[in-house]
Amino acid sequence: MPGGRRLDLRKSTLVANLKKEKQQQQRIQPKTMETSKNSKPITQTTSWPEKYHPRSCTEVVVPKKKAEVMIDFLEKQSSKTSKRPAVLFLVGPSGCGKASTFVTLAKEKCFSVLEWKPPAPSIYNENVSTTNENRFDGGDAYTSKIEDFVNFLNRSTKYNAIVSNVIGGGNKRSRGTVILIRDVPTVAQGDERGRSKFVASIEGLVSSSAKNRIPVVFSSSSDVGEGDFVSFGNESKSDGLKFVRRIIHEKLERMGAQNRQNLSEYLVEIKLNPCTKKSLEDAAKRVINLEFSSEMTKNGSFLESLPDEDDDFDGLSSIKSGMLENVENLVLECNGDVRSLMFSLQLLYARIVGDMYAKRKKNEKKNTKKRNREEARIDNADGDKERKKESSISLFHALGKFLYAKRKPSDDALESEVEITLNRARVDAAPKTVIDFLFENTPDFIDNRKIDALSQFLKHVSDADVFSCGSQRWKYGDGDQSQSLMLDRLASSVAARGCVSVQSRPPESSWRPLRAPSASRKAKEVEDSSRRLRELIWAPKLRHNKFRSRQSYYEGSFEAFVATNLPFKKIIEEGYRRNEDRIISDSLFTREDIDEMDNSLEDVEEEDIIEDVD
Amino acid sequence: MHGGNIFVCVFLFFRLFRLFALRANFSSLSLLLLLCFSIITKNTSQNLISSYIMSLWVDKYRPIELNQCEHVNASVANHLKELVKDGDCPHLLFYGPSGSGKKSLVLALLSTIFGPGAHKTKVEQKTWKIDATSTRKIEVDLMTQSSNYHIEINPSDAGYKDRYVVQEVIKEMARSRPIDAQGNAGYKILVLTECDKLSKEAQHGLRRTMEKYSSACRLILIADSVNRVLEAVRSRCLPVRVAAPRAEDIEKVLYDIAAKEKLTLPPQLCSKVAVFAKRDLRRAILALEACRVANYPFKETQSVQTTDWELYIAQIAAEILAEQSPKRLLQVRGRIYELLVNCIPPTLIFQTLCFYLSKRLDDEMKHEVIRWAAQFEHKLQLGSKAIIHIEAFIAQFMATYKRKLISAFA
Repeated sequence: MPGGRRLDLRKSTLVANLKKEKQQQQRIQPKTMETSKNSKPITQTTSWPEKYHPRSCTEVVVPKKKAEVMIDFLEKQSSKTSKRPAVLFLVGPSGCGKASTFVTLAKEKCFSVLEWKPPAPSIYNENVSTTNENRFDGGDAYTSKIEDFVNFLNRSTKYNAIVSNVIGGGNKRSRGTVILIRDVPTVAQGDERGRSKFVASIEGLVSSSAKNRIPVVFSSSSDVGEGDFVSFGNESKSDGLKFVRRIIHEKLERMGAQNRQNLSEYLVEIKLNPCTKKSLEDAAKRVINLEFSSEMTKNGSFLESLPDEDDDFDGLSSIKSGMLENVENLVLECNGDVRSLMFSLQLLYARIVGDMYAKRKKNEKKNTKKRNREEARIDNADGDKERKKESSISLFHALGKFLYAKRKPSDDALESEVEITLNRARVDAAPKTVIDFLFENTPDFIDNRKIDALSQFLKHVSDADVFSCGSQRWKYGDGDQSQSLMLDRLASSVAARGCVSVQSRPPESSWRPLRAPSASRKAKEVEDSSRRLRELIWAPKLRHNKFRSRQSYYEGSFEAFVATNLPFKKIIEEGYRRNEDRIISDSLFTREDIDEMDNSLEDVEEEDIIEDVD
Repeated sequence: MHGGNIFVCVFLFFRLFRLFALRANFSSLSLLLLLCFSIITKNTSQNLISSYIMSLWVDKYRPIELNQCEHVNASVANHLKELVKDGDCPHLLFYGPSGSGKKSLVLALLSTIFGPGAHKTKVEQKTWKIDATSTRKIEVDLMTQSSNYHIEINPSDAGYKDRYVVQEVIKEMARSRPIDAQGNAGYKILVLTECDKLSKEAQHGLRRTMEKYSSACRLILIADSVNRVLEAVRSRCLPVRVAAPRAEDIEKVLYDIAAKEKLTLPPQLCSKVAVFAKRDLRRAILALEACRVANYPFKETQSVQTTDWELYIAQIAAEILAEQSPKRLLQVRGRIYELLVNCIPPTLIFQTLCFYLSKRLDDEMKHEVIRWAAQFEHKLQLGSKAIIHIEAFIAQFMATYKRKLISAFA
């Protein structure tokens, strides 16, 4: 489940970055607060996805129908009398609001939720635990994901056995507990011990769920578009969610579910699609409104730090309008991912506020207080636009855009943006890089049945190579510099378009590693070996430094030497060596004879010595 | 080595003879004889190898004089002999496919003009310091093989600096003109190999220098393909076409060599080798020697061993025909890289791959394959990265072949 793992990392790193920023601000804050009123305020306390987590079913981004299915599931659990296990699978791409929606709904229906999240990976700890068997320091004990998961399950089932009975009887407020498992951990292929533990704990979970009427929810972003969940004949063992499904399925069969009709009563599966544009926009607007209303009412550090009330109010509203303008673009760019939308909103907010403070500080230094507010606002907006246009992206970002053929949902706008993207990544004049990277990686991104598409792509790349070589000729010949630059641009654009055009739709959403191009490395190897082989031609001739009669050495071109002379020479040399071996083996000896001969010679020597003594 | 072994033999013989005389130990005597035999045979086999290391047959039986060209290029040799009768010659351009005998003809021609002294050569690495512009100096290292009468260089070894090399070498030669016995100013011959690999600039430079110093030196250009030599250069030389030898001629040469090596060569095997060689004399002689070391006395049904890279390409072709998918193409990419790293010329890869692929195709498809190969080979000449063009060809083939298969079975 490589996709899942990557997403974990992304979430945790983003959060970590934000936290770090916050910490730094806090560290600086106490001093600056005292010294200057214009210091940059703490703008964030928590990451926005957490801060503006939906609070009611109206704020949820998931379509109503699906939300209703979830509610239905919960209601059934509380009303049901028979002791049956209940399992819900939530499947959908990352950031479509699977877990958030469920938690919100559960809270609304007065369920308490026990959540398991994969721990953030800490390489240092892992290292320590694998290298050092016994730890001396009192640092955090490292537990692998699987162990952590198993521990959680054991804890929750034990705990609930008591609590749900007690609470279920006495307290009317909570109607029960739900166990929510986000991103089932992957079991390593060879880890049999971990695997058996994992299986046992899942089975325990199912049986305890039946006993105590605790529904279990699995939320996972993997296997989008997977078909019927009963067909699991040839899955690999290590595939997280599929594996869990199989375990549960088997367990349920053992517990008495005979046919599929029965099974579907226990197992509910909800598939979610990426969020719609409309719902995302609504969510973004809600968050912006909330943020600013909270700023207003909070009367916190932000307001205090501003010089005069009137100006500040205007500034705030200008920020708000600026952000609202940007919502549409952000929604388009996030590809239906609420979490990434929230993060980018937060970043945008931080940037705008930061810029405003920088500008204001500058203005004060120059003592230009008379500056018109109108002007300032226009300036600000202009700056925004500039920044958006100028913002450069990394080469890998651009490559990702081409390779995954990311298109904006509504139109095929990518085709018209190839050159812009290349320009932003600053590789439009470096066709060799573009060609090498695309040539190396595109075959991985093309469906294994579509050789036509790949051949189209390679044709384009072949043309691009010709163009880029042409530009080299212009550059080193007497040609015009601008001509060579144009050819360069042409080459990289042809290569990139070749890649984009053959991918009519984005490849299935799994993550593939990007390989560094091997072309330049191979070119160096070719150069090295060609030098070595050329030396092979010259070495025997160089042995005599004086004028010598031209002995029969190789004469002719290098290519003929490599293609004809060298391989045959190898065959002939081998042949001679073989013949030599055969001559020895054909002689009347066997191995034993030779050994015996050696022994008898030694005997002779000894006897000789004895004779001499005599 | 020899002497030492004999000494040991004699010494042992005496020791054992004493034993034999005393104890009448027959087994010891037989052992001794076997030991001597083994030492001697080992020696001969070592001699065999050392004699081989000296030279391959293909180098050993190179014609030294124009008179020795009997079976191959006989008429060309005769014409050349007539041409240099007076001791002078125009600029010459030898062209023909590899293994047709261009270089051999040139060497034979040199010895015909200058006598055996032309074969006394020295190999050295020369460094030229050239003023490229008024401010910049370029250093070029190049291997040269020279006698008193001529210099051989391969200017394409110098890469993009080739144009400076050509002019500088010719200027230097013109400065030191040899004087013959009668006191007349003579001329030197400059042999430029692999001329078709020279850049356009270098060829233009060559053309100017050729005119300027034509009194002091003669040029002999050697090229595989005359198409890649500039028209202007071509028109200043006497072109000599060295055609690829026919199979019958190759057979004659092979019989000749077999006679000189005192081998009996069955005619069936001989014609087999000649066909295998694909009109390349070098390949034929090397293959014959490979047959000799594989199996002697020759068998008529003996197979001719082919080169490793050709087998490798045959295997690639089989893989391509077995499955057509991007995954397979990635595997093939690794193999093509392997070939390129071993310096197999990309054009040859195209040719051989085309040959093995078209073996299993119908005529219509063959035509298409060759069209694609020609197109991508042309792009290869224009471009810089061989792997891209070879792979584009393979992908094109895969796509076409797959479409054909589907339409045939659907």
